[in-house]
Amino acid sequence: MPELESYVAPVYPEEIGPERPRAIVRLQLTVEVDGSVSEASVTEASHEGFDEAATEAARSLKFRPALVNGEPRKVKIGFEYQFEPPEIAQPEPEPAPAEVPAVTWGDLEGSVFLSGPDTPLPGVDVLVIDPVGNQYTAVTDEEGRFRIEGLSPGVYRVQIQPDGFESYQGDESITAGEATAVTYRLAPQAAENEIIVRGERPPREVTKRTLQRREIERIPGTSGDALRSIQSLPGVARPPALAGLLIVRGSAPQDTGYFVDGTSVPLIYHFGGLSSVIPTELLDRIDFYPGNFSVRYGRVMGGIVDAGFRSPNTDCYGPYGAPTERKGCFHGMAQVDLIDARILVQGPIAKNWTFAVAGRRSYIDTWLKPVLESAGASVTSAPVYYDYQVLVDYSSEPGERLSLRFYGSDDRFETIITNPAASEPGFGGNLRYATAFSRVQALYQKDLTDRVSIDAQLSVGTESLDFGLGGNIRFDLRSIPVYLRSEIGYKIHRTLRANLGLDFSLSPYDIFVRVPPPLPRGQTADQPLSTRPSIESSDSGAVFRPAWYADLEWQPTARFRFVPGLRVDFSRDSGQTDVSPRVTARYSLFLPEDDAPWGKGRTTVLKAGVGRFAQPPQFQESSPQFGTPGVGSNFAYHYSLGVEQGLTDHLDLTVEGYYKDLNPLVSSASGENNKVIYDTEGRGQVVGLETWLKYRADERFFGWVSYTLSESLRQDRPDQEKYRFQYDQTHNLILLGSYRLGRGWEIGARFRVVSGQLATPTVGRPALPAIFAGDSGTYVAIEGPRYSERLPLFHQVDVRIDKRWQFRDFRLNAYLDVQNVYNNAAVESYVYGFDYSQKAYNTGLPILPSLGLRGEF
Amino acid sequence: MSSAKRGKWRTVRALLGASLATASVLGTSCGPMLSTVGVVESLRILGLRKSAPYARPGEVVRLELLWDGPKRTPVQRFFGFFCVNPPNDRFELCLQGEPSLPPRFVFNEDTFELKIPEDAVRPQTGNETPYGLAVVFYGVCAGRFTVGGEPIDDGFGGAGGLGGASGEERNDVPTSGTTDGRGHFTGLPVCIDDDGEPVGSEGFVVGYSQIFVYPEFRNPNPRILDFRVNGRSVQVDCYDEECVGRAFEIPDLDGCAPGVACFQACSESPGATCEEERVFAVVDPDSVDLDEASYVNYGREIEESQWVSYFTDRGGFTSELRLVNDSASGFNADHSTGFLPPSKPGPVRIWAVVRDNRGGASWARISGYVEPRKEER
Repeated sequence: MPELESYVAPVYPEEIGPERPRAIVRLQLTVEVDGSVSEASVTEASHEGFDEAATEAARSLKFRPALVNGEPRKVKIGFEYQFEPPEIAQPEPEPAPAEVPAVTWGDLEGSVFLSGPDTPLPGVDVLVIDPVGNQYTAVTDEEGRFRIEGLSPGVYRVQIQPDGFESYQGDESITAGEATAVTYRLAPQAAENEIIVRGERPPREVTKRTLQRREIERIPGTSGDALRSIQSLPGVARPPALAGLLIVRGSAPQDTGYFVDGTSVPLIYHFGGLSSVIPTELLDRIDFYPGNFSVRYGRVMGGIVDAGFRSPNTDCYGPYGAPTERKGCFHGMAQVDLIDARILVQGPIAKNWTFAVAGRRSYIDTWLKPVLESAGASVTSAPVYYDYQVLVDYSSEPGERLSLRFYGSDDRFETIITNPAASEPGFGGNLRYATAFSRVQALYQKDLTDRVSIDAQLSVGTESLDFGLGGNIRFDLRSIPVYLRSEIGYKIHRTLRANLGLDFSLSPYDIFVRVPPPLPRGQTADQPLSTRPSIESSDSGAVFRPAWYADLEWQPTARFRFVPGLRVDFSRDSGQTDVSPRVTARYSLFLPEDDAPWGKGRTTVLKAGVGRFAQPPQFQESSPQFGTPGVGSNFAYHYSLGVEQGLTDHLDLTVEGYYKDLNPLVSSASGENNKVIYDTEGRGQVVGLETWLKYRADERFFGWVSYTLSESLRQDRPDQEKYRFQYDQTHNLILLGSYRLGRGWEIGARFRVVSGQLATPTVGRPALPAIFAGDSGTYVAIEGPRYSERLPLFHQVDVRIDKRWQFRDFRLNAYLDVQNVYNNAAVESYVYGFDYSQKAYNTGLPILPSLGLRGEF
Repeated sequence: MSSAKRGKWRTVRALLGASLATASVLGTSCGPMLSTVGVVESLRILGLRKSAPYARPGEVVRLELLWDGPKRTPVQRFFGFFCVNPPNDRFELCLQGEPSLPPRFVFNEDTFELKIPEDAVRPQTGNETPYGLAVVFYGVCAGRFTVGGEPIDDGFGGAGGLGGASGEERNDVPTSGTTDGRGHFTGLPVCIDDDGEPVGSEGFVVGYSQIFVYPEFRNPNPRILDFRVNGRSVQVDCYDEECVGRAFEIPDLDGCAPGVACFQACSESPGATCEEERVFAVVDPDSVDLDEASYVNYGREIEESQWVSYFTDRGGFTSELRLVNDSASGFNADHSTGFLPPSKPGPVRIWAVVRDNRGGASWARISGYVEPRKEER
């Protein structure tokens, strides 16, 4: 390993406050063949404010280069700086502990191979750490061999963490006068980077949760879809079968907003929630905020999902995926399963410019259409969806990114109903459903100075929703939404940062609706809806909703973080101005360096948040044509309190309680001539407790237990009875885990137990379940209290089996993802006979295997 | 009625997609077997016909009840009239609180005459045409009626098995406190069996009917002109009031006769498909009227909607409800349906009840014979 030739002491930062603490900064240095330090990055710091001084000093260090087989080699080593307050600083700094010469008593030699075919892995860093923290490195040669000489007798920790392969960590014993021979076999990673699914991103939100890419890709029952993995997190209710809904902390589905890098998109899941509209391979992160999100987001009062595109990958790899320092390589990926197929190509365009192009298309139609036709349906177009993404990125320096994107999705279905349901004779003919959106988005991020940063974006897109049924019902919506978002961050002081932003939304729209009106006077009640003459309405206009926000990130100590913020939203359509103050705070009872009662390094963090969240009325609620102009906004008040506890190196426990006061909510009432009028008389409350015990991924295993206890109530009028919200789920327990068997095999399972869906029961004996409407020939159910019956418990096991092959120049992955392996007939709702005297369960999907194959280079 | 039904484009978008996907996937699998509306397998009310679906103040309106069942059994009936102009035209509110009229109940008649109160028409808000609404309740019971725990008569079960003591009229039936707070209709007569146990919906049906009251508007009932089977006119048992009081009337047929609807039995062989027979209750297109009262809603006079329901005591239909006329697409000249004969030969009855969306109704019944399949003769 390199030996230090000349030491450069760091300068104690002047801006450190009067406490002037002792600080330790650990770095990773890249030592070139000439002994210079080309890269220095902080891996750990006991205090904030010392990173820059440490990296600056480290870049001036000079080493004697490391020798491998007698040749100087570029290596990475650990290094540590200790900062002493100037008044007690040593006149001559001591060399870092890593530079203490070791006694040469024994050697460690061995080989690193690719798991499976025993292919040698050259260029892999092998890090060896002695009991007192001294670090020694070696790099494998073309044969995958390495050797470290002159080690003191004892037990050493060996760490191998090559990019593109699973890491290894273990202990080896060194005996004086002997060479300890070892062989390590590393499995290739499924993908290059980590996707972060963050519960709430610090410092501006309350808590942090992360899911690694491996976890996302291996969660059973999701087919490796990143956005579907959100449904396995605490606080997210199980949606009805095939409903691509996110039900977050007892909120209605439309109360959760979907964003792509800050730009609102109308949906994140394709047809029936089968897959998401952004492929996993293009995601850099998913910010998921189940509540108490920052003022950066608004117009919704439930949760936030913000998915971020990654920069196209142009890293170059050696044989068998071994990492190299080179850039500028092309990569491709293709995946097929029983539902859809997708491809991705990415690479460089020119200096500092990169691109990625991806697309996906389902082919359910190729097999579902014959099935439907054999069942008697006349199918024009079976369900089909596709999505597409084009990315061009520019980055000339760290901290700068210009990204241009064009992406969108399309879902459509069309059939001909030749035999309409007996209860609705007019609902026959052509049934058509189509929804689509596209976005052209420009995003620019740059650190203007070391104190000022800017994050701006502009997007223009299209959205459409078409639904038609015969000649009676038609709904066409077209809009061209424009989003402008810009945020400036300013570091006022080392403990204080201010963020100021604007968030504008403008949506010109055209809408055409042909539907039966509310029952006109003089017509018999309870007649089939389809027999009512339809009326046509159309409207054009523009919904303009600007917002401004500001927050302060104040961190007076390493333990305490406090973020107050304020957001002001205006809705031109409703004329409402909504002010939303929010506050979040975190306090670390134990930092990693503290001697916590349950062990050093076991952190304990308390967190809390309170805020007001405004959601303007839906378009149809405030439209002069369809709703009540001037109707007010919905409001929710979020309160949360929780704790994050590190239990072991891999085990974390998060417990968080929350309460949401929904006051007011837009509700509807019957007005003159049965016309629906909207007002703000609705109310709601949600209370819950989320528990998440997570085993973070190690070489073999990852998994977690998630349990959410909650109750969500609604009230249409203050003087009316409360009732359970439609998607209320008292209990939601998820157990999942995945284990690497070796040789590329991995098996995982997910078990879910969730309270049953709610139903509104019809009354039974001795009362009649329905009354006959003689004028229309239908039966009117006599219902009990709304959503007062809980259907049977939902439980399901999903299993996933993966097998990976790493070839010299490409990687292949096959998987079998089986949902509902024991074919539980999960009850989703009731179906009734014509007079409601008979009822039966409508059950969800049966066992559903999905076989997929994926190749990438 | 207020509700929390907030329009939700995104939810609508998602749920529409979900429902279609569900229909696509689940629609091809076997669902639960539930009885269908077109097959009379239990005591049923098939229709209610009013002499004046749109009545005038003071007018006497005659109601006729068409009911039937799978087997002959004593059946009691009732009509009750005690409510005009319930709040928001909600019929169920007639059964809460004090009745708006002195209660008038008639038992064991298949027809009922009521006089519309002279002051039934009330002014409306805005530009709505003044109108009134009278609500009539009725029911059939394969047991005994009780009101408030007391039997209304001890001597039912008389002539013809259709219930005796016809024409009994009582005006003292209490109607206040008629629900138990959960929407249960506890004030209307309750049907019990010989053991005093409540009879379920297989032998007890309660219905309601609305009679709109306009000073000027009228709504003649639709008309059925003919009944055809596979394109040929067949003998019709009865039209409208001719059918009233003729429940359980099994046709005296032991084979196909000239003019009688004749069908071929459906095979019982597994996987065999039935021969579809076209039955067609021909509705008079001239009986489609203008819906004058809807001018407020539509800004123009539009045609009323009509649809026809088919019933049978044996077999089934490919579609039990067929649209006859709607204002968008006009008259649907082919409102026939496919009849799927039973596998067992013998007499069969088929009803057609045509309704309009303003309370008008008309019906007809045919008797037919199901022949054994040719290969089984």
